[in-house]
Amino acid sequence: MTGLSPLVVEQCAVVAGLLAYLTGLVTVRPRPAGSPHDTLARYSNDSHMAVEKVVVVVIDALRADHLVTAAAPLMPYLQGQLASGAARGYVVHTAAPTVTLPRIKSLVTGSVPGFMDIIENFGAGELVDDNIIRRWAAQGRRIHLYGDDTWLKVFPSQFSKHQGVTSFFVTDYTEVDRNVTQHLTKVLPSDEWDVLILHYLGLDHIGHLEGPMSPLIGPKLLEMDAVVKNIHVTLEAKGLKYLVLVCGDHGMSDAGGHGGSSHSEVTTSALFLSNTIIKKRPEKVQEARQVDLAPTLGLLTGIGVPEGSVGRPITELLQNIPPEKRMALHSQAARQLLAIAKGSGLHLNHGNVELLFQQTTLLHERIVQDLRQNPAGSRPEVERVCKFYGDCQQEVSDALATRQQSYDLPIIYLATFALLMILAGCVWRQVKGGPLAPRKQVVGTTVGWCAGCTFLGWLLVCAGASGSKMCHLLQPSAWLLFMAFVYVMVALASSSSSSTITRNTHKPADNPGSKDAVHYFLMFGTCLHSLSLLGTSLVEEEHQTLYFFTTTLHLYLIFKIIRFNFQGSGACQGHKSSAYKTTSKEEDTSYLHLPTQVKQENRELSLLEKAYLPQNKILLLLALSLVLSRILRAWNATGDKWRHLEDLGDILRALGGRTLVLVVVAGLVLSFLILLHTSWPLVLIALIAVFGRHYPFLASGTFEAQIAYLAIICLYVYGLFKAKLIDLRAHSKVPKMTEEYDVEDDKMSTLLRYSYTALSLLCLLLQRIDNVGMLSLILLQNWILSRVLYRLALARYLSWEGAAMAISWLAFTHYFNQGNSNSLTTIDMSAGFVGVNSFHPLLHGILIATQTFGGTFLTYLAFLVHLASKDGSKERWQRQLYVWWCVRLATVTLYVLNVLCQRHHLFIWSVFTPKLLYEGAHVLVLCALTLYMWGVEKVCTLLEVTYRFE
Amino acid sequence: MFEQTGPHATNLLVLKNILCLVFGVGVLWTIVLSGYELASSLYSLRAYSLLVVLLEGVCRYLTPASSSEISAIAKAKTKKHSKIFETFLVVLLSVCSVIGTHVVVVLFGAYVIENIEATFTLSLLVASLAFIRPLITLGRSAVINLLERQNIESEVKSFAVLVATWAGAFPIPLDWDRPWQVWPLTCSIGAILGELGASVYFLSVLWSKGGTQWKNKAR
Repeated sequence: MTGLSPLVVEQCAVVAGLLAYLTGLVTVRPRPAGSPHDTLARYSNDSHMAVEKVVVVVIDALRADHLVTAAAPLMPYLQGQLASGAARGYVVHTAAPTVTLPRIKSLVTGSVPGFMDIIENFGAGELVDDNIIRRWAAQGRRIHLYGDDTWLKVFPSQFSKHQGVTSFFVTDYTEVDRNVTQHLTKVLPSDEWDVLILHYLGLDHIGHLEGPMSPLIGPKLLEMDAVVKNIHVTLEAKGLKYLVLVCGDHGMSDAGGHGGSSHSEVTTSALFLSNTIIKKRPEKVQEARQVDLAPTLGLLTGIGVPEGSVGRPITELLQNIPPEKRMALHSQAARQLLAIAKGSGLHLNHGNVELLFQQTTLLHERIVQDLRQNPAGSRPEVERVCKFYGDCQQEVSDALATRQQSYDLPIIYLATFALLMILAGCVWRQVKGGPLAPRKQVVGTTVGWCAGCTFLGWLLVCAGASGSKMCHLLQPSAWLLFMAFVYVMVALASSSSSSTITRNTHKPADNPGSKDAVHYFLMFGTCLHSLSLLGTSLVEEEHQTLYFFTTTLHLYLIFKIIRFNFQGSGACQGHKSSAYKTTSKEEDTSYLHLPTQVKQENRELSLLEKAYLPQNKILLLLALSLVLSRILRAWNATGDKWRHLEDLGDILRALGGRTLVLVVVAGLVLSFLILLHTSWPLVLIALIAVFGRHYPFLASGTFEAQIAYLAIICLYVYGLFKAKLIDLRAHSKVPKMTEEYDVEDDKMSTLLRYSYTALSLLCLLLQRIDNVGMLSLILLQNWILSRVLYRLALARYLSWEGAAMAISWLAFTHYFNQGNSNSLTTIDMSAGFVGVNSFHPLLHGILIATQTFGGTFLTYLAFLVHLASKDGSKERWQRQLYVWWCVRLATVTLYVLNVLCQRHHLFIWSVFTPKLLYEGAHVLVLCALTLYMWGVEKVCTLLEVTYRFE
Repeated sequence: MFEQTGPHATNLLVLKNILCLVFGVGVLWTIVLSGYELASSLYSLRAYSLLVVLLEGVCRYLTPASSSEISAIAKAKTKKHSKIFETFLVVLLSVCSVIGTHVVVVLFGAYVIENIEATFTLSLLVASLAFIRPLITLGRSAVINLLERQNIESEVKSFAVLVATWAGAFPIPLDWDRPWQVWPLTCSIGAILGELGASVYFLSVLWSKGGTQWKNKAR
């Protein structure tokens, strides 16, 4: 018996392959073609007419309908300015990952950062690309920053004065903004700054907490309005040339989060207030892109356009600049964009743009000469030239913005190939029933040979494709691919050598299970689910597929049991009893293989009882689980199309008050009843603390949450004691011979039970208030289905592989029931701050991950716990892990292939790539589960061995 | 099963299946012609369900002898007044089956209150195609018969209708925004298609059987 170790190694290889694949989705920043010249110097003479004071007010998650397209006077002062024409407002479109860091980068560089920047959102590094902040600093302007400390990570040294606030305390939305505003009273009147950047986080936090319909939004917007009014009035009084830009970094989805690509997330407001723009009220709201802001700011302040910018300057805002200068600026911007287009190998349609540019340049030169002779005339001509340049810019810019990403194809191909090979091995093993077959020990020399071969292969590949990132040894992708391929080679080598030896010694597959219609239905459903991920709308609505299949499975099982019942009670009574007889006989023979099973009989049901199925009870439980599925499905609406519909959670939140308390208490009582069988006083304390977190006994819920954490840790440690993993009376009691096999199993199942309880409590603690009831129902369904499926599998209604697949569906169903989706929007950031007072990025990350994937993990674990407690053989639950892994690996590989094939799809960055991240996360969940089970098993075995040798 | 039926019954069966085919194509045609307009489609679906049930009832009335043996035995056993009771029971079971189908459809994710008319129309259609017809043909013991695979025709038809309805739910989440994607048209069309497929299958079986019979006669 090889146990779980090969699985763990394989999972490491797959994770390495996936990570390598992700590094292949790189951003290639567009560079102007030709020799890199000193662009900073090129624009230095522009400054004589520039704006002197710049204030950029970034309001995090400002929606378009909060300011520019607002129907009600949400920000009265600014809306008044807009109406009078003194300010110019734009609906700004941002690019796909609507998360703060990439959006800030986009704001200052005018380029579209890659999707993978979302991974860096936690650990931001210094921005090395050319940007307006660097240009300002290089020009000697004094820049002050107050607000989100993401800016400080990106620009560690450029600010002459700064005060960062951390953006991760989602629960705080007043202090975080007061800390910014308090600086204004000192800074604004003084003359020690040229550029002032303010980044307000409060609105975003309110969105995360309560959504865009929250009553807190109105006062917050009024507060922002007052801040901008104060700035505006002060600057007016100074009489200098000034520019105030009020903008959001991204929008806010209709549910309150951000990160996805729904319309309300990718649109935000921008408003320019300046005494240098011509007052004119446009008849309708104008649109711009976020990348346009950097070149506009650059030209207005006379520092030029950042090198990598793909945006076009907003023409209306530059109209106050004298004509000659303006034409020169537009020409320069257009030339720069054309150079970038040429540099990134973009084929512009029909070369029309180049032609237009050349013609416009000729016209430009003529007009410049005209202007020299007659400075007052040819006003419309100038407008025409500017418009032509603008058209050039528009065309190139649109083409560039849509085709920002490129791929490191060698890495992607190789990673996909490695995953396919591993999948082939996995499927082969599953079909042969191989995980439990004896396998030749892998020796060090084999690994060495394989590593050498991989290295040779790497040299060959790099000789062919030297441009790839993979060929730089310092890049992680090279090493990740190396790991994956060494695993593939070793697996190939060992399987080819072992297959000759073990062909005859292949032992008869014990307990093959009945592969009947249910089994094939489950196979069919699993395949269909994997295949459904090839279409964008089915990825967005993945939960519908899963809900549908789970319900069908329930009904099918009910139908099958009823049918069997009828057939059994009817004429074929004899057949039934004979079937039972053979069943129990098979059980017997299969048990003979396992010496650990001998002691089972006294503790559990006898074998005959096991084979007998209490049909009425099972039917009742299945029906209950079916109803639970329906309730859970209605609890949180998710996905894309029907997301906005009111769900049970919304209704509960709207009702609030006593109903909500009732639901929370009912949920907690239910979970108490389910988790009772471990140490109940600790569970009780933890549950009361969970209640206290939402309805604080003291000032805030933080203390109660900490109590809950303490109780959960105590529970787990108590579990360790119970399982005799930690034994204070070290080896005082010598185990008797009869207990020998018993000890290990007891340890294992006890420890697993306590882990399950502790994790359930942790998840309950982290849930939003309206989700507490939902999670308790999930626990109930886990409890029901792990029992029912175990019984059914034991009575041969269902194969063990079928049970594993059913649980895998259920795990995904529970993932979506929690309100998660395949878009990054639905990650609940506030879960990371439950009971945490200080800022620890790792801790927050772990808590958020626990909240997001808790339901899935618990479902898997519940079944394993039940199996381990009922059945002494390790093989049974290990086989479940193997099946889950095989299904997951197949899905991931198929999906990776899909992304590779559809990389030019329109929705690749908005739908497919986030799903790729989620698929990776699900792989990690399964890896964590396997690793935990592996660790527990190893420790238990180790301790048992030491006991035996005492 | 076909061996036990006489030529008259076979003719009736052929006629019934042809009529089923005609009705099914007719209702599909009506729905397509109305441009998938919801209200009129629902109306025609309800009319179709009623028509199908009526057809089955008429067939049952015309061939009392050809119905399943179990109900024949049951009839022989019972007195005449229990025939009314039997009919009443069948009606009751039919109503129960409609309600049961509705519950199952809701369990599959249909809205509880919203669109209740559409959902109910679907459950009426499915129940009349898959459950009420066997109930009429086989009497109250239909449930047991279906579960025990004793009447192939009813079982295949019910099965085809149920599976086709189930498969009809797949296009719903697609974002094509076509008029026929509206709830419950996909599932209803699926059910009718399943019914049509089963009818065609039976006609082909009967035709090949009839062909051999005629060949034998000719010899």
